[in-house]
Amino acid sequence: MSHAAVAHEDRSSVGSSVRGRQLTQERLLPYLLIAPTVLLLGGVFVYPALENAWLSLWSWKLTAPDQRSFVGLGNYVELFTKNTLFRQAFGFTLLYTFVTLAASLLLGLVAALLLHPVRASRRILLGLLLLPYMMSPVAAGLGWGLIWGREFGLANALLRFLKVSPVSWLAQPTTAAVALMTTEVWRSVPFVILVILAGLAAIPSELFEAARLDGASGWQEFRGITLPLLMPSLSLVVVFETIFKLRVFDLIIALTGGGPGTSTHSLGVVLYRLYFRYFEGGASAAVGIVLLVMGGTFAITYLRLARSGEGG
Amino acid sequence: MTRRRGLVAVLLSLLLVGVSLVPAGAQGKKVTLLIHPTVYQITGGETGVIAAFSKRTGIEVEVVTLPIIQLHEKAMVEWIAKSGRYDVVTILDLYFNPTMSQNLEPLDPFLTGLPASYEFKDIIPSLFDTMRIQGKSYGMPFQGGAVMLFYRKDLLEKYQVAVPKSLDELLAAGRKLTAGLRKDGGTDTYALGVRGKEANVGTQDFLVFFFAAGGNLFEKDGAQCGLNSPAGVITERFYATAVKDGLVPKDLLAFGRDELIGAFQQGRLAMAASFAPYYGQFNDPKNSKAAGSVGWTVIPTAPGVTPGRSFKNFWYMVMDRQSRNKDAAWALMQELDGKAQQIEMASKWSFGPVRESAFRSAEVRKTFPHAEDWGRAVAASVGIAHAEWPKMQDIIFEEHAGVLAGQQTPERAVARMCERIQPLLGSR
Repeated sequence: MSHAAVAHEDRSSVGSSVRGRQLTQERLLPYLLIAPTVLLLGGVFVYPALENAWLSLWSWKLTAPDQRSFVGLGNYVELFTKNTLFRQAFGFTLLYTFVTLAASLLLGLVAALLLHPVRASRRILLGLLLLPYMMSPVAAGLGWGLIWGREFGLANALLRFLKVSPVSWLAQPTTAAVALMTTEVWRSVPFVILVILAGLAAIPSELFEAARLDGASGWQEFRGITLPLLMPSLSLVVVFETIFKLRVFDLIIALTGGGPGTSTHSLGVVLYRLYFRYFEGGASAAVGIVLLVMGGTFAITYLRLARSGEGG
Repeated sequence: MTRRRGLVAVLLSLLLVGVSLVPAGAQGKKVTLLIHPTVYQITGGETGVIAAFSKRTGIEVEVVTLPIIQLHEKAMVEWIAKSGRYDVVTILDLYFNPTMSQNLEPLDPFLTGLPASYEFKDIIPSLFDTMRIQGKSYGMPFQGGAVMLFYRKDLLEKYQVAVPKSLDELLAAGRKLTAGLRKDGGTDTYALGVRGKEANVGTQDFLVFFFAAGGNLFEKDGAQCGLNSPAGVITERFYATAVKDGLVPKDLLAFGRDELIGAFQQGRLAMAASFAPYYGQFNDPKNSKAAGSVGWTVIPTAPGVTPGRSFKNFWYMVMDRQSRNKDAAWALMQELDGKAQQIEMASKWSFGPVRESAFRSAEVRKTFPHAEDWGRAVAASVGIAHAEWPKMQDIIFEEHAGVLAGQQTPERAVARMCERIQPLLGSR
C-alpha cells in the first residue's frame, strides 16, 4: 500500500470517527435535553407512584411500622369484598363524577355558545366568570355551606319566598348530594366555558358562511361544523375534569364532611380516613392506586374515542 | 480592608453583648404548644395565662391551634416522624393509647421533683389513671369536665316545665316545650339540641345518654362490646323518639359543635346536653341572646343510675419524647396546672379546672353558680381510652346516624355497633 493510500485511509478513518462522534453527540443531545424533565417527572411522579403501588401490597400500619407484612393483593380484595364504606364511596365517586361532568359540560357549552358572539365587555364577563374557578374548593364549600343552611340559608330563603317548605339540604343523603354536586358544577363551569370559547375561536368563520350559503339551519351548523370541530377542546375538558372530579376531597370536607352519615364519602375521603385517622398505610395506598387506575382508564378511553372520531 | 475587618469585629462584639443581655434562663428557650382553639381561648388566649408565663419566665411559647380530629392526626404524624415539632400537645383522653405513649415522655421524674407548695395532690388524683400505662404517667390533666344539661330558665318557666331528672322526664319536657313553642309560632326553635354532623360530636352525644342509661362501653375487662345492651337500646330509642316527635332540629345531621353553640346563642334551643365549660359561651352577654337565663343541671339518668352519670372528657398535656426543650416544656405544663392559674382561667374564661380547690373557690362559684353540680357530674361520669378509638367512634356514629335518619331500628343499630366493634377489642 502506498503512503498516499495509507494517508488517505488515515484521513478517512479520522474523518469517519469525527463524524461518528458528531452523530453520537447528535443522537445523545435530545436525551440530554430531556433528561432534567425525565428526572423531575420520575422523581415527583413515577417513583412515588411505584412506591405507592408497592406499599399497597403490604399490611402496614403507620403506628406500628415494624410489624408490616406482605399481603399481595389482600388490601384490594378486602376493599372490594369486605369494606362496605369503600364500595359505597366508589359508587358515589362515579356518580358524582358523571353527574357533575355532564352538567358542567352542558352548561359550559351553552354558556360558551351564548358568549361567543358577544364582543362588548367580553373580557370583563370572562373575568367575572372565572371567579368561581379561582376560588379554593374549601372556600367554595364553606361559602356554599351558608347558602344551603336550613334556617338562614339563601336556598331556603328562596324557597320560603316561593311559599315552599324549607329543606334540610345538608341533612339528607339525596339533598346533600344535590347540594354538593351543584356547588361543584358552579365551581367548574368557568373552566369548561374558557376552553370551549378558545375552541370556538379557532373554527374558521368561512365554514359557517359557506354553510349558510347552502341554506343550513342553526342546528345543522352546530351539528355539522361546531360540534365536530370542538371535539379536541371537549376531549381536553372531559379528560381534565374527570380526573379532577374523581379525586374530589376538599369540597366534600368543607361542605358536608362526608355526611350525613357517610353518604357523601368519596374515595378521596376514604383514603384520608384510612391514612390520617386509622394510620393504615397499605390500605390507603390501595385506594390511591384504585383512583389512579380509574383516572388513567377514563383518560385513555376518552382520548381513544376522540382520536377515532377525528379519524372517522 | 483593615477598616472593614474592624467594622466586622465591632458588629460581632455588639451581637455578643446583645445576646448576653438576654436573661440566662430564657436564652434560646422556645416551646411549641399544639392546642385546640377553644381550649386556647379559655386559657385567656393571647392575653391570658400563657402570655403571662412567657412574660414572667422569658420562655417564648409558639401556639398552634387545630380542631379536634386534625389536632390528633397532626400530633400523631409528627410523633411518628420523630420531628420534635411540638414540645407540648394537648390531647383528649379518648385518643390516648399504648401506641401513642411510645412517643411521649414519661412525666414521673418531673412529677416527683415538684415542690410541696405546688399542692400536686389538689389535682383530682383519679384523672391521672387514664394516662398511666405500665405504671408510667404520660399526661397532666389540664382541662375538661362532664356533660351537663343546659336549659333556658325563661322557656321552662313560660311553658311550666320542671327541670328533668330522668330520661323519660327529659322526653316529656321536650314534648311540652315543643308544643308550646309551635303554638307560639316558634317553628325554628327546638326543645333539645342534638348533633349528628361529625363522628366525634355525634358519638359524644350518643355516649352522653348511653352512660346516663347505665351502659358500659366495654364489658368483661374490655374484652366484650357493651353497646348491644338494654342501655344501648334505651339510648337509641330515646333518640328515635326525640326525632319522631320533632323535639330536635330537623337538620340535626348537619348540626355540629359550632351549629349547636350558635343555635343556643341565637335562642333557638330550649335545652342542650353539652360540656360544662361551654356555660361561658352560652351565657356570654356579648354573643348570646340566652345570656342571663341559662340554667344547668346534671344529665338526667335512667332509674337506678347515679344522677349525672354521663360522658367525661378531659384534655391532657403531653410532652413529645423528641422535644429539645423538655425543661421549658415542663415549666409550661406546670404553670398551666398551677392552682392560681386554674382558678383564674375557670373564673375568667369558663375553663374546666382539674384541681379540687378550683371547684370550691369562691371566684369560680361566682362565674359558675352550679360548680358543685359540675364536680358531682365529673365524679359520676365515665371516660374512655382505646387504641382503636377513631375506628370505634366512626362505627358508633355511622350506626347512630342511621337511627337519627330513621333508616334503622334502635335494636339493629346497637347490634351492628357491637358486630363491628368486637373484632377491634383484641388490640387493647
